[in-house]
Amino acid sequence: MSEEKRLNRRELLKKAGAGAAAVGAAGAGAPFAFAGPHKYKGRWLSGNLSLITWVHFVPSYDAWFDPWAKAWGEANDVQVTVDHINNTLLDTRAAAEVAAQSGHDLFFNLHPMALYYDQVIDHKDIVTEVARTQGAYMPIAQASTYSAKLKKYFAVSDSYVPDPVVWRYDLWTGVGAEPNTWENVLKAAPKLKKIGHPIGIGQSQELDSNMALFAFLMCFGSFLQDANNHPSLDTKKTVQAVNFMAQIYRVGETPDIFSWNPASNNNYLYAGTASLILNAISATRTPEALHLPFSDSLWIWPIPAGPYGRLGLEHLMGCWNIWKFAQNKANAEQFLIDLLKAGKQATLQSQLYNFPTFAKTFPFPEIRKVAAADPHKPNGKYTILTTIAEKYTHNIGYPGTMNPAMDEVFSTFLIPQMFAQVSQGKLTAAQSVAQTKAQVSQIYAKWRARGAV
Amino acid sequence: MVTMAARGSRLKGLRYAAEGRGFLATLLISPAVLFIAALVGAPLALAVYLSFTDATAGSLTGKWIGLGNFRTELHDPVFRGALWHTFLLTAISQAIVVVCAGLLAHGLMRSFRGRWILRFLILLPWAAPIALTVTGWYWIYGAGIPEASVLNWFLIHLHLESATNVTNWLGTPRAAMGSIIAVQAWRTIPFATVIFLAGISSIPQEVDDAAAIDGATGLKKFWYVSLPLQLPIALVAVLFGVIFTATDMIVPYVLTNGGPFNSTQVLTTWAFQIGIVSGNVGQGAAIALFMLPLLALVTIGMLVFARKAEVT
Repeated sequence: MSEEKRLNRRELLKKAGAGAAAVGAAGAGAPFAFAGPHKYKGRWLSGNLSLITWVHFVPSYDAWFDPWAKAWGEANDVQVTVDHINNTLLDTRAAAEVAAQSGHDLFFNLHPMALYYDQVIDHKDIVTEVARTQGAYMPIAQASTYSAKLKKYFAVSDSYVPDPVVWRYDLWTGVGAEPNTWENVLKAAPKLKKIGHPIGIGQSQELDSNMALFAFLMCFGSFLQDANNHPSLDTKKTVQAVNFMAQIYRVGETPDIFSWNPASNNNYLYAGTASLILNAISATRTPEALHLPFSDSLWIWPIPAGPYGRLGLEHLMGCWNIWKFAQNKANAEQFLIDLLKAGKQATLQSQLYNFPTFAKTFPFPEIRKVAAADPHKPNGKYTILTTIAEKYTHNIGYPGTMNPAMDEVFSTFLIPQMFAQVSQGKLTAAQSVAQTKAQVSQIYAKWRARGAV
Repeated sequence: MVTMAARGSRLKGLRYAAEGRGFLATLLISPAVLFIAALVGAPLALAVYLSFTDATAGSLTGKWIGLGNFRTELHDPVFRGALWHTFLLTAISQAIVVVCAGLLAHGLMRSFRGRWILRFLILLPWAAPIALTVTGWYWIYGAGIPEASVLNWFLIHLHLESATNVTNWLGTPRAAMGSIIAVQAWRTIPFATVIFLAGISSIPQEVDDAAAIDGATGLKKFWYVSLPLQLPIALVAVLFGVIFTATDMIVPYVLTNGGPFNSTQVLTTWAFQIGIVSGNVGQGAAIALFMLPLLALVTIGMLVFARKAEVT
């Protein structure tokens, strides 16, 4: 054995160290060497994700959402299945999934489903994570999806929809009026009806009637619950509001309004009949898309002011829910986080129908710029939307928060019934309000006994 | 030899026992009994249990509250209204069914050209999926816009209605209830007609001949001869009609969803509203169970009456 080939201790350690470092580096790089960079964004995700949502009133939103969900699945190694159903079927579908304790991982509805507070996970982690980059969760969303009593986010809202009054400028100026107050609506109603263009505010057992009449009550200072979620229907103010709406019906509406479904007031407007409805901007977008002759005459304004002021409601509150029995909760949570972060795209693709629920996702000044650039006539008609969204849009249950009792009052259509039975002369306003007040109190007592309110 | 003879005798005994009426009947009926027990008995027992609890959505258990749900409902004007509407809807629609099915059955017994086509057309409403046909009726009534109603269009062109004051079929209490009754009668008439046809066909020709010899014709023959002979089978048709109508939810749900202001709410829609939509499963079960003793009484009463009326 020659002298040169022999290694001393120092050389051996050096070479061994270099060799170990080389093997370590090669080992760490092996996955990239053989498989390239990591293919999937959410490496911890896999398997499936099923979700159910509505058929959006603005078709371009679904045209964006479905490919987005598919691309999200591909990026995260998750097989995503998206089901769309008609909005009127969402409540019964949710009930069926809860009863069966089986169904979609993610369930979307157009109002907060506080009734199922015990059937869903706490969505707090999602809200916290999104708020980290997108700014604060807006008060309307917080009040709609968080229960202080239960200390739980029973849903997470991705969007809310302002509810302006949509009116025919040509017809209203024809009778020399503007719908800036409810008093003016009442004065103009008989003239508009006489020329064949009645008012179109529903009093039926459906969503749009519910929203319009809840808001109408608030304009008269009548609130179903107070800030502490105690039932607080003021008899005198409510009777005044119910009588006022019955008057509007008698002089300026037709009996159609008692058998409407959520699409009926839109159709009433598209047919060229209605002179005013309370609805989201899908009511103006469709006539624009169809090039209806009066589409340029459709104006949007905040809800008319009543004796108590101008207090509107969101038209829809987009709420996502992850069931406790969902099979793929981790996938669902990450999907929602990413969807909420894409809120700006969602707002744009919905043509300003959806408003994001996190403050920095698409700040109001930016939305205003986009609205101002909308090419439809009259120029700038959509800029008022941000004012409506910021100043005049409240949650269901305002000044309190959404809770199971309020959800039941909402879903059993007690308020449209209260108005309709007076408008049709079945009961006096005092009788109808007393009856409704008793029903509301009973519902609250029941949920309070269950510790949910 | 003795052993073989004994075995043969045992086998013969077993075969005799297996072929015995008691054993064989029990064996053959048991799958059906098990099937009914599992698919009808168990859910019924669960519904009875839930009606005594405060169970909410997603839970099949709850705190025992005795008759609390039943007391609450009996004090609820909407429930009392639903009970009355269920009775009204069932009684009027079935009265219409009996008269129309009786007339149709007698008409269809006669021989004329196109009788089979007519029979087929009359049966169609029964054969078509109910959800689809009721949606068709929803459109006929105008789908919430009376001016768009095909029915109103016809009435206006027949000068039975003014174009400026059309009927809101689904938006006013009486018209809405009338609309639901009409659809319920329309969908039950074919079934009753078929049963009535079977009843008329089963009357022996000799009876008719004897009645003719005795001078019984027209209404007299119908009242004293045909009707008593048809009554037991007609009662079966009425019994089914009552049960189908009283337990049906699709027609009122699709047409009015209980509106306007609960004026067409029936027990089934109210049970669904409270138990499923509002998530009060216990209360919903109590509402649904109100129908059980009522329908059981109707059934027993009709069967007893049919037995008495049976002509042998």
